[in-house]
Amino acid sequence: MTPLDWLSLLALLGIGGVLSRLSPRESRTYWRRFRRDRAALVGAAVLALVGALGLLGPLLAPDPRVVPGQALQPPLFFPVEASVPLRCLGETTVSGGTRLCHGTLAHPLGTTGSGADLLALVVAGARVSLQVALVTTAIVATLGTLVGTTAAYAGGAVDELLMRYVDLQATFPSFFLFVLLSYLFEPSLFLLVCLFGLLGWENTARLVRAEALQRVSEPYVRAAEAAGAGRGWVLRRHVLPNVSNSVVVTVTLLVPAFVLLEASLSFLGLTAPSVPSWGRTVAAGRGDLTTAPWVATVPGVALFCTVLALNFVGDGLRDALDPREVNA
Amino acid sequence: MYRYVAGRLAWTVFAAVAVLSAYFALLVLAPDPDAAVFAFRAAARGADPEAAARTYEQLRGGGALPVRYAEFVSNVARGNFGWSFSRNRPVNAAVLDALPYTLGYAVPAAAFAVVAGYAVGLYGAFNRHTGADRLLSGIAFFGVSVPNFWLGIVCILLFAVRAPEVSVLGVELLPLPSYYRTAVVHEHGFLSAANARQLLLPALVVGTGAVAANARYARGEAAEYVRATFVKAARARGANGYRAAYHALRPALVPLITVLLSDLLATFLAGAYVTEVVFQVPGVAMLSYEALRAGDTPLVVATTLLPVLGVLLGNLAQDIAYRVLDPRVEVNA
Repeated sequence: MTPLDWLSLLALLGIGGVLSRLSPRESRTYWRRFRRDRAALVGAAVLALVGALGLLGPLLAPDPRVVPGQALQPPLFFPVEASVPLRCLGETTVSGGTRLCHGTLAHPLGTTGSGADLLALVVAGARVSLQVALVTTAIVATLGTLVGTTAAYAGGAVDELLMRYVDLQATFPSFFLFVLLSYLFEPSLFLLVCLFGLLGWENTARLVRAEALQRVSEPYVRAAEAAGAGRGWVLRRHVLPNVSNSVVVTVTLLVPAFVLLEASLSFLGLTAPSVPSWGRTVAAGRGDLTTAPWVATVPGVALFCTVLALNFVGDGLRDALDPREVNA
Repeated sequence: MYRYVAGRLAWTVFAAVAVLSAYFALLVLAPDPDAAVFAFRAAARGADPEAAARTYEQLRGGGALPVRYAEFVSNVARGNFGWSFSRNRPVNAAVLDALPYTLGYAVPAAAFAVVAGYAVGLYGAFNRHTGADRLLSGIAFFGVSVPNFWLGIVCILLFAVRAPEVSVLGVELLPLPSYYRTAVVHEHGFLSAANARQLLLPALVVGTGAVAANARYARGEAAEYVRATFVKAARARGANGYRAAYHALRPALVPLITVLLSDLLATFLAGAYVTEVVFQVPGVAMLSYEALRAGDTPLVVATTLLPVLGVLLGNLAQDIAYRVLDPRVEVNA
């Protein structure tokens, strides 16, 4: 287990812990609303698959290893001219005067130009994307909630200072900072993912603050304070449960963007070469685009489906958690 | 008004200084590539070793940190980004030469994204939950989810590598050129059909995500006004669909410009960066990418700093536009 694995596990436990705080009635209501959105259901199924692959990946598929002898094997049902792979591992047929090389069950999605199995690469990439999604979710939700509620509840100079910093972070397009950072430091995935989270919570904080400001002036908070409740109690008991929906809404918008950001940086070759990100595999396939288009397309399909699923689930969650939609 | 603008201007300067400080801190903290290695790499690339050494001095050179910091900030403020040893010329000249290629596809893509995005969004807002709206929303989801670099590769496969030959009235439509060739510009000129043909795919790829994002925002914002009394009144006076849509668009424009100039500009630039690398358009992003590959730090710093400063200016323009477009906004400066 690498540090990032531990951090992801911690994030997973944290997210699970927060979810388990929902009362059965609440979870039933949310589930009933969520389930009506068919796209969100399909998205959830895709995410469950990616999650399972990411968690159990190392058990299911071997590490994608470079085996030069088996380079550029085509996927199943996608025969190519026999001259494309150095040595065809599957069966070869002749049709219309050209010899065709067929894919083998040993490499159902084919292999890359360096001979790594694409299925193994897709499984390994699922783990990377899963870790990006989990860790950034945990960091952004925690920091955004913390700063947002603190600013709303403390008010005055603390509020001003925190929100000015949030403004600063919001004006800053982080992609280019990450390009420079990756170039200068060649950071590990662990560091990169932490930085995504640390520099990405501004919108969450803003929304939480706005939501919390409304709650703080509600009569039930005044009543609790009059009854002797401390700040901690009010925050935990009254403010946090009320802002949690806003947190979910902003985080579901952010996470797909983080997954894409990591893939883009990997595509540019800016992340550690040992990390089998989907973006890196797509980049590796660019050189063989005319002869072996599957190398660049297969991991891209996985990435696209994951991000699409994240967006669909996010949209479904937003609708399900919308408090304005009562009993609908 | 002037107070407000001055306030926003001061904030922009402050933010720019903060960005510069962050970049400077990264440069100082970065593991120091040995000066000898630096000079060797410069020489190996046929660069002028003396100029490279000067750049090295500029970047990591001696002197106390505050002095170097002041030098860095004043250099950037004067638009002096140093010497690019991989290109063997000043960084400014390299960036300025590359800029037209980037603008060549980015400007049409951005214009298309705004017009098409708002049109689709308004249509969706006025025809909510119809079949066409669902279809357009689905396509918008596709557009925001698809990674630009992968869409670019798929487009190259579909429209260039594996496309059948199609020509209409003697004009060759397909296949499109897969990668950008500067020779075309030298032969036919920058504003030629041949150059437009090879910029079509990059513009399309960069535009897709932006159209989708614009359409989603526009649909959400305009939906608030579809049932507003002033839209109903306009319809009652006999306004047709377009006129009614204009009535809803005007108030929705204010929040739309806010997202357009800050959030969307940032994602647009990031998307353009990878797209340019995919299609090998010799623009600023390609320049940056090659600088990354060559270890040309001054060029990397300039090409990653300029878009950030551009977004800061976009933010400033957004704040002022917000005030001009919506006289109700009373923001204390």
